[in-house]
Amino acid sequence: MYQEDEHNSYGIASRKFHCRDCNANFLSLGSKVVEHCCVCNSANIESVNDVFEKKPFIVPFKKSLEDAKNDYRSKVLFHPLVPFVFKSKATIESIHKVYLPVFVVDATVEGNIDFLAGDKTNIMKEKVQFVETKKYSVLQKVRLNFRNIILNLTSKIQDKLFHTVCDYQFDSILDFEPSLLEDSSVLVADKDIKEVAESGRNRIMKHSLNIAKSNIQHALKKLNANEASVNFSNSKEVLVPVYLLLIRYKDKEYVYLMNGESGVVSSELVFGMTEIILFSLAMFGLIFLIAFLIAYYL
Amino acid sequence: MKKSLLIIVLSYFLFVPIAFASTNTFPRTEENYLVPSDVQVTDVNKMDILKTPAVDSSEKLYDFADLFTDQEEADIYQKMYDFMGISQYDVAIVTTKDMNGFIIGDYTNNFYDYNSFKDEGVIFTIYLGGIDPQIYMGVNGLPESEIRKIYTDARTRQTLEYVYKGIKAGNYFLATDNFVKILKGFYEIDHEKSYVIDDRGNVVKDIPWTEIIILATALSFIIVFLLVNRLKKYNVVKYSDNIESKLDSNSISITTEKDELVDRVLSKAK
Repeated sequence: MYQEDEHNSYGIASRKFHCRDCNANFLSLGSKVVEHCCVCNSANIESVNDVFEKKPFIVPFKKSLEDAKNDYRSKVLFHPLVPFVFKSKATIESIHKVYLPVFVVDATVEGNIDFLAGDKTNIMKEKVQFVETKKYSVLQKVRLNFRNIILNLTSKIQDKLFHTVCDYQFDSILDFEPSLLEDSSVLVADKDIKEVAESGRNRIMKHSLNIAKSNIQHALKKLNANEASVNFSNSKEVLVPVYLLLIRYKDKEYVYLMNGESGVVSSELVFGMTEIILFSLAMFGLIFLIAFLIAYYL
Repeated sequence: MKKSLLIIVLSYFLFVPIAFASTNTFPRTEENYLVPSDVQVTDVNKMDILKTPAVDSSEKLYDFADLFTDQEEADIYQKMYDFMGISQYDVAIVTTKDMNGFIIGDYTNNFYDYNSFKDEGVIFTIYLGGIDPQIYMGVNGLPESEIRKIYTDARTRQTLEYVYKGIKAGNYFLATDNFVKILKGFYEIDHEKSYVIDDRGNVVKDIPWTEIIILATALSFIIVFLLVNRLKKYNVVKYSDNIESKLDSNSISITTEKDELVDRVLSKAK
């Protein structure tokens, strides 16, 4: 089982940076010049100290930075309503190659779960229609094993966004090798381990309850008492690869996240009012011109 | 044989005069007045006929005053030809510095009547022999004919007023070009081609600006509305959790330990 002090243990020389704008902490290995924050691309960063940490496992990048840029371009460039700031060269160039720290754990859900269930049937008695409701107490004994559940250790990436791209294949997991971190940054884990574990348990339990519920042969079902527990085993700290782009637009942040191994993408886009107005004017001009030409020549 | 054929062909292209630029006239004599067959020569009109130039009526453009370059003549002729094709009316344009003693109206009408033009047609004359240039437009056709209804006196006056500005300024080609355009414009107005005359007397297309603006506004609004709605759906981040794929399907063990009826309620259906 993992311990709280296992954070940031990479076992080699690295430089640690702190972003004064988004408060992200990240590491850089080797001689790579770090000028911008790997999360928000701010230049307002400071080198904090050098750290020597234990080494974790790593899932290497299979997608290139160019793949990520091309995918991002295909999503925004020909999208007429996406704000120009999303399409600027500077924005596209600020996609960062980042390793995120996660815990990969196996989990077992075991125990009894008590449900209240029921069925409703319509009955006709002396030309009057009645509804008969039967209530049942259903006790299910559950045992489920989950493998390679990923627990996000950094607060800089929302869990729901991260889980969307989180289809890493841990069969190809490697021991940490510094050369794999060339040109990339490593976000420092900043979440409370207990909270991360609790959040993971809740997620697993929620899914397990759904499975158990679907196994009940009654129409109505409601959880009554849950004595099942989630136990973690085989935990290991792993760096997983992502391409990360954070765009600030009108005081809000929009994230583009690509799984660096599989290429699965989750992106948040928005429409710009200026772009909608410009597009409307362009459409108006085009239709006006076509209608005018038709009226003129026919 | 081949050589002589080549010479004949080359001679044709090199020496045949251009069809649309002619100052050729034919001498009228008392033996041969060179008038159309429907014109009766009498003592009253005999002198007028003799004084009127006899021309090849297929040439249409008679630049006796030499106002146009070859290119301009070709251009005007092409437009006249187009108009004649559309309307089936005849058109003749005459420029002259000598009206043989006629006033411009008589000169123009005699020119049309005593040469072999169609029964229905328009003739336009530019006279530059006086202090000021003079122009005249003659419309030929029976009083109830369509051509008379199209080129009414009012329209003729309006046309001449507009064209005269160009003539006065010395822009003979532009003025003549406009004249042919106006001829065509009036014809098309009366054949439901959506033409109108603007404040300056130009015949212009009647563009339905209001309808176009309404159409463009409505369509662009609909397109943008549909696009925004469609892209909104496309843009929404579809959060998902692949935890299901992490479940070891061989490990699933769910046994129902108890399934007991605890209550039974009968209620009237609503």
